[in-house]
Amino acid sequence: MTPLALGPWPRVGLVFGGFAVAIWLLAMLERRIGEPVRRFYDSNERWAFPSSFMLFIVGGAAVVPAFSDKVQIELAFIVGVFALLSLGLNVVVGFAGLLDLGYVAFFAIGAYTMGVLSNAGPIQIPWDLSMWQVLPAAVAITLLAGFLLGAPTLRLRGDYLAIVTLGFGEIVRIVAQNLEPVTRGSKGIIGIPPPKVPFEGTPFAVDNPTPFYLTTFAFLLIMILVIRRLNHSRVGRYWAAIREDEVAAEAMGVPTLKYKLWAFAIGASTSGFAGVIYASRVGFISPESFQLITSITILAMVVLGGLGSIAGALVGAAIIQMVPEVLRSLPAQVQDARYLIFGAILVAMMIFRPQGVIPSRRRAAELKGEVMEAGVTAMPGEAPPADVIREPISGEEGT
Amino acid sequence: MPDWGTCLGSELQFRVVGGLSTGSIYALIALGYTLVYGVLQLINFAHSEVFMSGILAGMLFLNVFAGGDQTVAPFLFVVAFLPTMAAAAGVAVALERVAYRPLRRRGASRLAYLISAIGASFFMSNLVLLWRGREFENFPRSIDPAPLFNIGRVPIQTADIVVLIVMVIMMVGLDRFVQRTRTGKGIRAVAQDVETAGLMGVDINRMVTITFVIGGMLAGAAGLLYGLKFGVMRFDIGFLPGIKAFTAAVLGGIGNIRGAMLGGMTLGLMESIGAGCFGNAWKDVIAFVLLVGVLMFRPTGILGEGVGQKA
Amino acid sequence: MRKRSVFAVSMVAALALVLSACGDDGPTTPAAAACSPVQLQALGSVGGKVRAAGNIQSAVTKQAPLAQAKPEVKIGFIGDLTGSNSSLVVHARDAANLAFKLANEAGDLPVTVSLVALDNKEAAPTTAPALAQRLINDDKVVGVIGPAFSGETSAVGPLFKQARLVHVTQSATRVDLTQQKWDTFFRAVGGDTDQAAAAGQLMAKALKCKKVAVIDDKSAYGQGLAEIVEKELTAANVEVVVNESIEPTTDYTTLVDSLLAKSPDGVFYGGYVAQAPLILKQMRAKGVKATFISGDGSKDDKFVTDAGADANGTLFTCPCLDPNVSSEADAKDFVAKFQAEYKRAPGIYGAEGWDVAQMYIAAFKAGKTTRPDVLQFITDLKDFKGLTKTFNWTTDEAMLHEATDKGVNIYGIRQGKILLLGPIQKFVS
Repeated sequence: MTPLALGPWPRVGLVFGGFAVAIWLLAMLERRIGEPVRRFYDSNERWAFPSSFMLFIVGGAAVVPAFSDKVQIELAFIVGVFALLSLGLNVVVGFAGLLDLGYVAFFAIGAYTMGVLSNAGPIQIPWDLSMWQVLPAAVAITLLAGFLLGAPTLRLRGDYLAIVTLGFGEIVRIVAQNLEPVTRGSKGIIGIPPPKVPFEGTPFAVDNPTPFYLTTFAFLLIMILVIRRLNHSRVGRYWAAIREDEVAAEAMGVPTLKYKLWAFAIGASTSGFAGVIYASRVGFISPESFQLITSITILAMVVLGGLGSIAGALVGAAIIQMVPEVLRSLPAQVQDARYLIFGAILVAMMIFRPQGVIPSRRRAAELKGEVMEAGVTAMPGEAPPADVIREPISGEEGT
Repeated sequence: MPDWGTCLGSELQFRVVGGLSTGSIYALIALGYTLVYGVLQLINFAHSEVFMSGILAGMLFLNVFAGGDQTVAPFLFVVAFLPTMAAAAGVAVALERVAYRPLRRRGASRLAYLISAIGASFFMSNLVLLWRGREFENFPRSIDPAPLFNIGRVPIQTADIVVLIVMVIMMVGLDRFVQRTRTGKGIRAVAQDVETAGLMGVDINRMVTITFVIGGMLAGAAGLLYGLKFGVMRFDIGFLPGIKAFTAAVLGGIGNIRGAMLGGMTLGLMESIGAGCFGNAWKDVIAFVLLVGVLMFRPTGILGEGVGQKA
Repeated sequence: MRKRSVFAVSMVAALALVLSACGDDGPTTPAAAACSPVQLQALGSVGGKVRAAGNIQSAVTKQAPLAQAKPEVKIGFIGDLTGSNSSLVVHARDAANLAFKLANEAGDLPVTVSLVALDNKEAAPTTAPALAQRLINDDKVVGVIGPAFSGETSAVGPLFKQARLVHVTQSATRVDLTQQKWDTFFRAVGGDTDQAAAAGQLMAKALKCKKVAVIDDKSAYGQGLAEIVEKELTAANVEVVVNESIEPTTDYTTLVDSLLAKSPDGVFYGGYVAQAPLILKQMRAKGVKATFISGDGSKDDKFVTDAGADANGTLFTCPCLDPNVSSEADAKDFVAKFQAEYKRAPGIYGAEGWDVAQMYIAAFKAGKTTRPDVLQFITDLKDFKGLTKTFNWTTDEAMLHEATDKGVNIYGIRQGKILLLGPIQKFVS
């Protein structure tokens, strides 16, 4: 790769500019192609979803491994882990509307559960557990943690909840750092074993990322189906009610606290899940892996992809994880710019397209600040009638 | 277990000055958070970067005059307040215009504001990273760091006294401004009830801008003081003090000006004493535990909410 | 109402201050004579000896090799190349690059070798596995130099072992790295046991400190170092009055307050050069006069620039050699070549990095160009003469593949320069 004969700042500017142009092009395309596709999809959802899901399975399970080298499959694995995380946070923030800035804490708990229970840490248990056995334990523990954290805090108002969860995330990290007898502190836990298989030979070897990737992908598929089912059921409708107007929902008899807790716990256990797999592959965890910035990155993935949209969460994870990889061949200074671009994208998204890349239709309307009068809803595929959309006065509380 | 006898007894004296001094800096930053929250109900996540821009501006200004040994005359430190506070205020206003106003115009949701704030915070700190690099830069020394005098065995540095004086001046000034001037009244009106204030003829946009200007100025002053005390500058230097200042604001009562001061000093003291008793490793946890505890059990803080309420 | 609350708060603050100042005063600090680096003046002098003659490529004068397409091999390198501690890493990378360049030019290798340097920003242990994975997945990589820091080595050791890819570190000194039975890991520099022992002995016997504060930055390296120093001091009957960990930050007020309260006459800091001078500056500002001693992680010119006038009198222990002050011919030769190529003197761990690169070059010369062969070659290394030492590996599983020939040097800052005061044996018999 021949370096351009430009100084570092022009190069950064070029990348920035490149991004801006790319995004503008995508926006143009989207308007022409996206809207009709979405309408088509919505009106034919009964068979559109299963077929696109099938396509997704084939693409992920067959196409990706066949056409990628080890380095790329490794990347696909990491994208898969973050897709799981993104999916889970989407339930908390996107479906239930709860601002969680400490999400990485559950990831940490899951990872450390794997680290401790696999006997790689200072604590030794009498059984020799494999990743498969640790998974349910980790899910149980993070579910519990989710309930414990949620119960006292989910009563708080939006912004306050965000900060409390941030505080909890940091507390978990610092405790992990200081709880030497369990976590070995900053030294971390090393030598976490890959999953065992009942037959001879270990496909889960260090130089073969494919089995790990496929396992993660399988879990991802399962979680997508589970969460989708939940969202399309009564639970999902309760979530929507809580998200749009909690007071009204409460008044209508929705047990808000219970369902908020459930959303929180589901998000937590998905995250714990991802933590176990991650620990098993990477083999090493330390408190540094679980910092605030990771929580924020996952949040960005969800927002970028589209709050409340499952496909959006996956796309967001893919974009945010892959872009730095694509930029890796560029000189170091441009790589540092990646967080710069990140930040700019977040701001720009909120200003211009808060509903994300793949919006969930309901959320799109909410986030834009448009309010639809009760009872007057648009038919799928149509824009809402103009005269019932009003802009709230600035300062009024949005959802 | 901590040795309560020593850490609260003979060693307590060493903790107080440091705690109050750092606490004053937290208080100044906290004011920015509290004002903006009072007026907009928005947690300005990016305020920590406004603070950082204050340190940066102060450093750049003083570097112009610094000799080879990286020192400047003391009076220049006082002069430096002007450009530093102006720069930080400018950054704050730019932040408001770019990241928040478009959302306000649209009536966006809380989440959108929060995410925009986070994005702006990232953007600003990484911009400085690209510009200045990852290494710590030296802040020119203007005041001799050696202790001015000792109270018993406790050294009192000039810097500590300066910090305390500046904080008191700013606090009193701000209080006067908010309570006595017309603009201050306007700000309080907007904080209390935006719609009515608008109906009463208050220029809301202007009030919001002024709020950010004031918050920025205070953060800039805090930045200059931070540079004086610790002598370094780096792109990520705002993060931890920012979170702690926010804790302080919440502790004292978010939206409450005097609460910010009380919260800042309290947090500074508790951190200092806590570090002495439990060990320096746990220092940062104290802030977070306080944060979580206050929000869960007394979310209105010690003095309760309110720029919008009558004092 | 307003006046009253302001009044109340300031009264409380004043009262608190006055009350606390009335606490008991405690013993006064001992006279400056104890634990002062001045003690070393009589003993220390500039200059030191390199161990044995080195294995340096002689000819810049040799012609370029014929333009045959030789098979390509790569040697990996992992370290913090652009972060706040990069000044501890880049010299080794540059030395290795230079070594390979000269070896390629000399033309007597069966392969063309190049260095694949991966930047692990801030030496984060969490990002290291991904980088290690990349090297593992690249079939042309037959050996690795590094990782440079202990935390990252901790993270990747098991991976390299599973992949049977040899890695020789030039600067990761944490003790337990060689206790993990990683037969693919070799340490070309003395581990922290010796460094920490030296620090402890220095403070106890040479400087005669009575009360010492041991501080670390919670990193894998810093904490490991501090632990051993503390043990050494306690064993030598020196009172360790402060033993704390504090994460890297800018505000060390509470730490300095602890030092004020306990008044040690010596302070040992286990950590890196990004933070060490900050602690020192804040200490001196509040009037803490204790001698400041740190390990190899802080020994860099950046310490001097950041600490300014306060830097003088600081001492460092280091298992490293400074080739710039050596009188040996091969060290001088290395310095000259490095200077010619990079227009600057080789800094910390440059010589060690060079030595490791030479090991790989020797392997290639012996026709070993595959991963298993290179691993075997390095394992079987006997009496390999490098700039810094003659290399032989330990074989005891309890401490595998340490360099048997270890030395710890003491460095000090005088008049704004880091000088080699001598090997530890000079001060502590």
